[in-house]
Amino acid sequence: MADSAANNAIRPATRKQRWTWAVQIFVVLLLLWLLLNGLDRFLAGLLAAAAGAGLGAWLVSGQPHPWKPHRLIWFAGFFLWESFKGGVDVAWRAMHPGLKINPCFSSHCIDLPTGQPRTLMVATVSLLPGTLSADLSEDGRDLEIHALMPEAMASVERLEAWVAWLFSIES
Amino acid sequence: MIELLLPALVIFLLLNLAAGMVRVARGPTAADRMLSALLFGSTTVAILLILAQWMNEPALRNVALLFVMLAAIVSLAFFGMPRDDADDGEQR
Amino acid sequence: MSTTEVLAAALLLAGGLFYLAGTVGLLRFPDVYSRLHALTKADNLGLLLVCSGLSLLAGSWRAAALLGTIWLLGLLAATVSAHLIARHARARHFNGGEQ
Repeated sequence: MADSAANNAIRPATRKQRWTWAVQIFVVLLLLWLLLNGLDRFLAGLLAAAAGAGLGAWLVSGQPHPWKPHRLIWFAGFFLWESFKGGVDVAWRAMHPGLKINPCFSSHCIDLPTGQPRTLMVATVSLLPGTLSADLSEDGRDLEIHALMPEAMASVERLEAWVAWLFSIES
Repeated sequence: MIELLLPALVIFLLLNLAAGMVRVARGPTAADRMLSALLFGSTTVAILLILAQWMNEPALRNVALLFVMLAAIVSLAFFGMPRDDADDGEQR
Repeated sequence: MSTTEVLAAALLLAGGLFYLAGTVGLLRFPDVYSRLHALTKADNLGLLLVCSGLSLLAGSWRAAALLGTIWLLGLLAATVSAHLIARHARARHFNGGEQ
């Protein structure tokens, strides 16, 4: 959630990218409306979703990164499983009579472009087993991670690979 | 059976919340006190959802939705957007 | 008691257990950052289990989808708050102690 506009290498989004972005927001907002309100007053929901999509496309900063919906499903699966393990892991450590933790800080250089990929990375690190994104450097490259035990750092690399795959980023 | 489990769980979660509030008293830092606000948020949402089921009052789910949206905003309001305070304490 | 109810009861009890673990971690862990781990991760798993159990009991797709949305938003709130609290604690630390 931490970085958006502060980086110097931001190019404005093209018209096509803004349209794609708008359509994606529109679909999500409309689904949310249907979920909360059902089918009555559908027209109002349509208008509200369109307004939200327009606003989102207008305000988008930098280039939105294209992502593939079927990859998002796999990513969600990976994330769910990891956060499940994270919960079980930390619960076990908290309940263990000997408190099996060895907390430490460790810095990780993020090898992802600014915008959505990096934001997603910083946001999801906190829910992996044993890692917590504690701080981000001024330029948004170095992520300071707090780990419950040094071994937990290994999963950060895997997460980064997953995020790169989701946004089809070549490395 | 379920009719008994739901209120029992609500009481359990309330006790749990009360125990967590010890952290507010103990501190020692402001961040520790903020942790209790986090605990308060997640526990309250669970309690509201269980009550919605138990009392057959679906509107309580909407209250929980509102609560969970406020939870994110509360911490943003408390600490400010990350970029705003970037100039204090980041020169390392 | 039907099978659905048994399953729902098990999920709800497990959820309560993770809430308990979150609180135990909050009280036992030695520093702010470790406590954040306990609270965000354990409570979110607790909320997920409670939401799944309640979806089974509610028996409607719309209620289940609403519970899922609430969980997702809770997840978002937890990561944002955890990052902000950790950041705040570090800034205070490097500025020379708590005010």
